[in-house]
Amino acid sequence: MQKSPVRPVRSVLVACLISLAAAWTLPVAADTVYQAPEAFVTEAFGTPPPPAFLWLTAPLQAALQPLLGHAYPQARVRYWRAGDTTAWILEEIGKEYPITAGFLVRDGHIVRARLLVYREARGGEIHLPAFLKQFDGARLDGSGGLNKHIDGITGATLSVDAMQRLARTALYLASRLS
Amino acid sequence: MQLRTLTATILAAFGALSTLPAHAADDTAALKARLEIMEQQMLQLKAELARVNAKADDANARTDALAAHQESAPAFVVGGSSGGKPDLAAGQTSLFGYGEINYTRPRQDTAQSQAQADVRRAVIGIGHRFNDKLKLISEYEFEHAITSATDKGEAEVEQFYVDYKLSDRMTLKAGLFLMPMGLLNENHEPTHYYGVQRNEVETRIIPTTWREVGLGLYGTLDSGLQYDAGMTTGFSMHKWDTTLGPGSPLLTMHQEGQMAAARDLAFYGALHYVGVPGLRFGGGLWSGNSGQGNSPHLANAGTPDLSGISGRITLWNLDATYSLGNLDLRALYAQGSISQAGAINDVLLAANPALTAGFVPAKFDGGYVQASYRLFERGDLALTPFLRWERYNTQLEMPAGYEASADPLNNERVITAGASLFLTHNAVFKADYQKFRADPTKDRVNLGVGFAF
Repeated sequence: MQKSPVRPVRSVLVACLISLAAAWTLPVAADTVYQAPEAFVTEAFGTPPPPAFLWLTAPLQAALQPLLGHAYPQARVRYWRAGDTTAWILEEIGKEYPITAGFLVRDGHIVRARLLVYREARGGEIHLPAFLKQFDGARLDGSGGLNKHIDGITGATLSVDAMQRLARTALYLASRLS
Repeated sequence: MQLRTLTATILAAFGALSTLPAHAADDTAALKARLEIMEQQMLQLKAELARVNAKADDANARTDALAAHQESAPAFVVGGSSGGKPDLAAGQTSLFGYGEINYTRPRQDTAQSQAQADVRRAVIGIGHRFNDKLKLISEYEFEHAITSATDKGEAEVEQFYVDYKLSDRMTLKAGLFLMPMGLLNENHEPTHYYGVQRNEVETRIIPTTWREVGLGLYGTLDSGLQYDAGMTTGFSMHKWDTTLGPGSPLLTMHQEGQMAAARDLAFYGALHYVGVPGLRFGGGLWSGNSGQGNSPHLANAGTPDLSGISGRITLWNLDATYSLGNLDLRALYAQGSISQAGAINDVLLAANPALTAGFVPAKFDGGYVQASYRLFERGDLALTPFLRWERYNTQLEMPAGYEASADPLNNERVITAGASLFLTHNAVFKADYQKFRADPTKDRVNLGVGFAF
């Protein structure tokens, strides 16, 4: 029995209409901004201190190489400091596009990690609080790794790896200030 | 200030000299002239120093401005994770890829050796970011090194779709994309799975790398629920291969976006929970007719006449992964069914009365459990042994009248034991041994190298 060709066409139309309705009614977002970088600094310090700069000299870039797997593609890194706490906003590519993350470091350990802006197609699950909370208390071990295990997320491996590289970088840069 | 002090000292000295007796007057005049010359030189130096300071201030301001401009553009690069930083607001293109080279040697190698080395796949991916909401994702795959009319290689478009971000929790995709079924299909890079070869269940039951043309919506909610649902093209029963079909039913009928018969469209949905680090569990469902209104037969009389047969294919799976420290556990079960399989086989038999095997199953299924343990880790270097147990039956249920045609070798159990040595998180050496219970001639040693960038 031949089926009417109307059904699949109708299905396509219904799906298109649902998609268009979703596109129309949902707020259109740009790259997923989980927390604006300015908001991260304000949350950390209340009234943000003026930013300072750490110039990434050749020796510093050489030291970052094993932590990141490559040089940090900037001449200097901006950071904020109040007392013994520093805030770092860093970027690293997971698969294709940069992930922006913020780290608060005190006494050589991370006290807060946040995913700020996510631009990759897949792997945004790293913004979930349960994942980020794992970085709390993490320090650099003797070999440039983190001293605690970070459980991954299936399907977000590259983003998870990028966050770990950024955490190591933030800890190392903070250590260079003291 | 220092210059002023020095001048005052010199003038004081000159005053003292003026009180000396007259016989020293000539010497005093000469000394005064020299001091005046020195004073002129100091004034010139002072002016020069001011000019140098001004230049240095200007250079510092320019450096600050340059660094600030660099910081304002995120660290996007083309072709790797270091280099230039074009502005992300403009359109940009990224290059990525993966590949694997394998060596396989059967344990009971025959006189006509089955040992084989193969550039299994080389994949180049190109992404393009039209703006901060719209992206193109594409992958181009070359299998078995050489593609030509006389070679066995294939060149294929593996993914080719656009992502349009509707909100932080919903993205629309349209084009040729991967089905969210199982653990491997969407994460099929060699650095993401254990074993030189992809596991048997996610090859024979879920036809990895399985892609369809269609529309889908996906996203992750704050609760940790990850969803993906949509409508796509499906399989074509007219492509059933009586030789290869019984061993991997869906692999022979997929259309891969190649002028795909699309009268019958399919629906899919997948739901997973990822709210706890290290844990992911959920499943997927895919369903669509494969009869395609018999249009392939109407276009090519050499294909089976499946008039009036819908041949609905339904595939579902449950999967779970759990990482606890260095231990990683994975489990998956998948089951597929084909409606009117008996009627389809009647058509195949009518076309070829000599046919005694190779018929379409009514049901097929498979599952596996796998454990791996990161035994050693120093920097990026890591060694991870693993053990996997699989069971699959590609002819789990044959339609009435065709039960006897089932091949017992398609009801198989496989144990794979091996290790992955990661040189970095993106490059891995692999080695394993596979033991097949029903067909021991398949027992083999595999070696491989894989990478992704």
